[in-house]
Amino acid sequence: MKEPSVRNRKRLRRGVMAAVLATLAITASADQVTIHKALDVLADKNPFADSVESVPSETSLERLGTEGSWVKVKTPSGKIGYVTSDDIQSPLNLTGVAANNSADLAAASNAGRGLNDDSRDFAKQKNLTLNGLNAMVNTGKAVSRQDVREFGKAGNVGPAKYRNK
Amino acid sequence: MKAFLRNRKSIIAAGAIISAAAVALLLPFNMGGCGVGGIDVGNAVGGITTLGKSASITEKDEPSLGETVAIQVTNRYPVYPDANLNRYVTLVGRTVAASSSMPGIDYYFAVLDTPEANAYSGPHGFVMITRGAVAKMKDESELAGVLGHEIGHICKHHGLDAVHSAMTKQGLVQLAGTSAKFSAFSQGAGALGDTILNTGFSQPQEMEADAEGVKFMAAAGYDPNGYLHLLQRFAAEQGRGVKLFATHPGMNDRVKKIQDQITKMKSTGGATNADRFAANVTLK
Repeated sequence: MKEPSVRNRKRLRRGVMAAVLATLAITASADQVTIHKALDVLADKNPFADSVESVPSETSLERLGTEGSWVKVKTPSGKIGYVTSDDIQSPLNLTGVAANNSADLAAASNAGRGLNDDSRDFAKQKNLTLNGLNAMVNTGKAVSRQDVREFGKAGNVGPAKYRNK
Repeated sequence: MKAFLRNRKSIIAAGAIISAAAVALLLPFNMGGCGVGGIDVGNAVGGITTLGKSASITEKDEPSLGETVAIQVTNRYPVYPDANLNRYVTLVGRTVAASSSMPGIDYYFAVLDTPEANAYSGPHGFVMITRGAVAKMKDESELAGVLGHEIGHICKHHGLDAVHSAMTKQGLVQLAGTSAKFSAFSQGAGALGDTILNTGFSQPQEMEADAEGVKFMAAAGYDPNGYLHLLQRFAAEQGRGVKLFATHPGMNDRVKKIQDQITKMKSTGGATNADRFAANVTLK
């Protein structure tokens, strides 16, 4: 087997580098998320955490990672903080979703939280309605983290390190 | 020319492998906490296997398990059709959850339409309380205490423990081709629903959830005595033969433990928000 020439080795290195850069470019592009409402980017993964920056609706944020329901983001001004997965999704009405409605179920599954494949199949197998679960999810989605924070402030409750700030 | 083509193929192949590897590494990072399936059913022998704790349903299945609990509970007791009350309970619950040991997951709350007094939770953030229980409360700290208790079950993964315990008791699980993983999940979810709706968690688990709940509600600024006073009233009613918190037995022992915990905490009180509670809860 012939040793590759210096020229071909350079080509190989360039090819590898190009592939890596192309992959990173795709990922960076895929990790831009747009928010559809004005909100505070928080310093910590807690609805009571301090705001690092208030950003207007339709701002594009760079997603740096996902931790549970919290998404670590970088704002256009370079500030790093957290928003929730609900913040970066369009609202979806799940009312009336039935276990045997595959289109609604697929949409619900894609809504971030509300229905995983196993629980959908379980409900179908046991012939159980999803109305209660959907009602819970709808109520939860209608209560924003700002709502929780304001509720806490009004009643002087919330995590000690953020209370009375 | 041939050598150049061969090398060009190598370059393309190398690039493809690196791209695929990079994407494979990055994808799970963006998947969030909604893992589905992934149930390791262990080593099959002759089509049948046992499901041990180490080789069965794991924490990554908790979001799905929690949903099945919410589905099962709300099929027995529908959600109470009072949007304001459900919203209020969600706000109190999320306030307590923000001070829990798992503040980063999504929590969902519901009031169930039954006069029975009870509360239930499913793994990974599902909490339900009956309107019968809410009707017996006097202020927000009492509600925060019960929700904190249920959040305590979630943070201590008691639901997952119940699945493991039930699967061990049931012993064998029949493997049937591609549906084997779902079969295991379905059995586990059914057993968990039965535990939560009928038999309840064990007494040590109830006490552990009490301790966590008191810790969380106090950390959130609520008066932990609210929970103590509520359980004292429940214990007195149970003593008179009233069926309350049927899946939460041994109320007198729990009251004693909570009393001890509050004494040790040297609590100086906290919020009760009785006015806000009265404004939001109009149940009789």
